[in-house]
Amino acid sequence: MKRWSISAGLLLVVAGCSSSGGSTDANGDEQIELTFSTWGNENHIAVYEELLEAYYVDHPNIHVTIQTTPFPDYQQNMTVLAAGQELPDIGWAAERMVPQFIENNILADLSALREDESFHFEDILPGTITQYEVGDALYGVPFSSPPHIIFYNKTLFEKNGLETPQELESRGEWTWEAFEEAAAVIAEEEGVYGANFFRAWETWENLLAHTRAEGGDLFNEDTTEFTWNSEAGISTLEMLDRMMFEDRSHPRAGDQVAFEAGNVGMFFDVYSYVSTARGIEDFEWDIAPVPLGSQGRSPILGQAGYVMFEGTEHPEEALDLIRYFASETGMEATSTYFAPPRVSVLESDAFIEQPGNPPRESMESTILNLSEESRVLPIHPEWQNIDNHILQGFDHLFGQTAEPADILEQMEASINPLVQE
Amino acid sequence: MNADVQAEWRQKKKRPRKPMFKRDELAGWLFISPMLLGFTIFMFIPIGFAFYMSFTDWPLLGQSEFIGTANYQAIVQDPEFQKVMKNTVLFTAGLVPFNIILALGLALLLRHPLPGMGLFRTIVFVPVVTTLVVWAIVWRYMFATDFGFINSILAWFGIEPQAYLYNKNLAMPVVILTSVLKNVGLNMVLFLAALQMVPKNLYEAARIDGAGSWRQFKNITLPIISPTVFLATIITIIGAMKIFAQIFVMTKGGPESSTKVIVYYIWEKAFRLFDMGYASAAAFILFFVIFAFTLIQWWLRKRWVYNED
Repeated sequence: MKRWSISAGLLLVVAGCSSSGGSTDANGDEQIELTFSTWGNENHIAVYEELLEAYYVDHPNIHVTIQTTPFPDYQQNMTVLAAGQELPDIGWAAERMVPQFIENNILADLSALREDESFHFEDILPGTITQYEVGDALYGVPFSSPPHIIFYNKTLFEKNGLETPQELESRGEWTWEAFEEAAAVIAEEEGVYGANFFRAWETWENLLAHTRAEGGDLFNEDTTEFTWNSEAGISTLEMLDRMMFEDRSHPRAGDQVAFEAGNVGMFFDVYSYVSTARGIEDFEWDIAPVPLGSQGRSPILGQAGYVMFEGTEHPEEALDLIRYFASETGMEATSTYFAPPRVSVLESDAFIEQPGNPPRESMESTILNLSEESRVLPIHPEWQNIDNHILQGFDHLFGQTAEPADILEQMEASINPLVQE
Repeated sequence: MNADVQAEWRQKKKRPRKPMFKRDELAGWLFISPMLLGFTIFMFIPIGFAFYMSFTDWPLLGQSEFIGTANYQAIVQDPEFQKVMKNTVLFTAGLVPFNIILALGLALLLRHPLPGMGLFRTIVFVPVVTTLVVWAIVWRYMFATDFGFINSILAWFGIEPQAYLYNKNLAMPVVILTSVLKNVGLNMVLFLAALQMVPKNLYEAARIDGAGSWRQFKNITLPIISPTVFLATIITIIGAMKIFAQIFVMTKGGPESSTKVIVYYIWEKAFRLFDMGYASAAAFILFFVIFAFTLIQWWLRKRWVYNED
């Protein structure tokens, strides 16, 4: 009996010590532990650690633990943590995750930031905030709104006597036809590809820049109908098919290529890829906007924002940390790698002239001017399921087991029931 | 009652055996209680909970709802489930005979204590202790379409590079081949141990009677090692039906679902589409299928497994 009571006493002591937020420092301030979840790499984490060092000066009682999960597993990880009521206090959320998180009530309302004059909410590009808004509630603040752009190997263009995309763009001649022709010329050299739309074989969304330029889109405006099965959509898949199997200017599925290795002429990605491109020493590179089509240009806008998760024990402190990260100071720091949605930071020299960045005129034509034309990726609460069906369609294209028109018809048949539910 | 019986009766009366037995029993339970507790908390309760989940619409986030056997009914009517079951059977049917025959062949080759045999046995066994994910990643690069090792070798013979992992006719054979190479060493070690147990005098007697190598193998080796063959077959079948990591890393179930097997299907339903009830039901269907397979093999063993008794 005596042993039992000693054990129970010890257990209570241990439980008391480990209670979160229960301890106080010498000044009597409550010591608060916050967790911040990202899919960032070590360069991104280093930026946040530096930002936090400055934050701790005014907030000595707060400590932030940064957790990282690779992007492909991030949504799954957050969902499992939500089910186990183990969510972090704040975190990143990409555009495709937001509808699912909002629908399942795991995001907290940040609308207090609208009223905060020191936050300068009006400085944030309005088009980047809509996906976080439901009625009067605001479920996130963007920190990165990069348009999908083209990184091109300037050395390969010059070697092949081709005009660069920037040169063509300056004359308004940077079209999808010019893109395809340049890709075919570059690919004439053995072991070199003209262009690559895919960061990984699952990232098909870059192709939508072509569809939109031809007047089509993935969904109708209220996302209740799959509209990729259109003339514009078919021409997109036919272009990819032609480049892969006729011109051999695009890698085939399963090819292991990387722009930074120097064997790809043009590579589609978001601006954030600049963190890798800055390390390239073997050749000259530059950036260009996606080409023009018969209906103009409407690049895809990627997006990631800060969210606060429901159930945080320290909502005030968590909100304050988001306020700090999304402030001018915070976005200036993160603009090292991310295209900031704050106009004042986006147009600042600090962002445009980051060491290792492309020339100012390229930044202006590709990032600044495009931000207004761009539209966020189409998203839906059933996105994972929709993505599965689209990937199955691409399997047919990669394996040449169906024609583009049949592939899109099949996608439409399987995706429409999902979006019309 | 004679004197002996009386003495025994008194002994029993003095020190009754029943309470003593109970104390032993209690000690036994205490010794196994940590393991029992662990099994209960980490196995039986989760399994029971998963079984309950299989009768619900459980979206991971949000409210769950009891829906009876609707998940089971939906699964058996789901064409995708029928396809993944077909793929699972195809994978198992391709892997198991290949694995067992290769493992037995290697064990027969490497059983003699010749110089360098240790090195060869190690080479065959090393993949077994290699991390599964690393193994799958390396093979994915080996089978890369453009400059992959396999295509580079074939290019010397003028064979056009193939997109092995993106071709619906080639992806499954590639996954089977890499899985066989990963695990063949384990079965080889089992067979090596079994081959050591075959009495040498049986071979001597057979040789005197004029039996050749094949007849010795067929009439002596195979019957005597048949319990090990039986064990290896059961273990390999169960392992094959639960294949996941190679599929996840190498093909993600593609192309065109040609390598989507049952465990990948369960993972996808649970952790990509967050339909936990449906995934739990599929997991229990897999359990019953493996259980049935094992029972059938157990019953069939009487026909071909050698028993000394």
